[in-house]
Amino acid sequence: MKFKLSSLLLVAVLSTACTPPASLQTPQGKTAYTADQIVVRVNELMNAAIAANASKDATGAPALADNVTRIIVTFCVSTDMTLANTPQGWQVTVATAWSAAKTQIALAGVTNTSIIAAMGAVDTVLAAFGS
Amino acid sequence: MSWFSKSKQNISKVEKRVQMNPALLIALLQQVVIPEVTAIIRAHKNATGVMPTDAQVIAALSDDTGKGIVIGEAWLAAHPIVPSNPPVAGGV
Repeated sequence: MKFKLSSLLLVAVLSTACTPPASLQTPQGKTAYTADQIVVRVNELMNAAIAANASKDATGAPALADNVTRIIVTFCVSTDMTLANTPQGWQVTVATAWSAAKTQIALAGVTNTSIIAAMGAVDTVLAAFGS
Repeated sequence: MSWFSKSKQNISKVEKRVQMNPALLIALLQQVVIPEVTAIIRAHKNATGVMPTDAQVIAALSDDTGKGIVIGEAWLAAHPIVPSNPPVAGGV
């Protein structure tokens, strides 16, 4: 229930991002636009993870543990490399890597709200562009 | 209960939720909503307010992936994996 409003807002915001600008003429431009939309959300997730790892909770421990941050950052770096090298053929590679990363993150029991929201953004944009 | 008084109840429930979780809202705004809106505006309009060209979008992809890789690799280099079981001195 707490996330209903933020989830609706996120979906509304992301749905407007899924339409390429009308000024793009070439297939390469449209492909690059799609790939860049993925990269932007992936980088947001990575930045949220690094920020959470840098902040400390009341006990002085990182708000997001190093091992979980490493899972997220590793996924984000490899996704950025894939999208940079193959902007038109990334879907299966990124979807597989994201599924594996989500499983590991879930096993770690992450409850950080910024991370969960950023993961939702990645899910949404991959669902929109991944097929 | 009338529609109006039910709406007032719902609004006060939302207000209470917002008051109870200001940190949640701030974190969501800072980490997700503001970057999202900025990204969408950037994607649809470049710095001069004109729609981006194919070349600009291709350059933006290269730029964004480059930044992400540099930031990510820097964090990974600064946080190497620490072995959980260091070797015991004098034994196998």
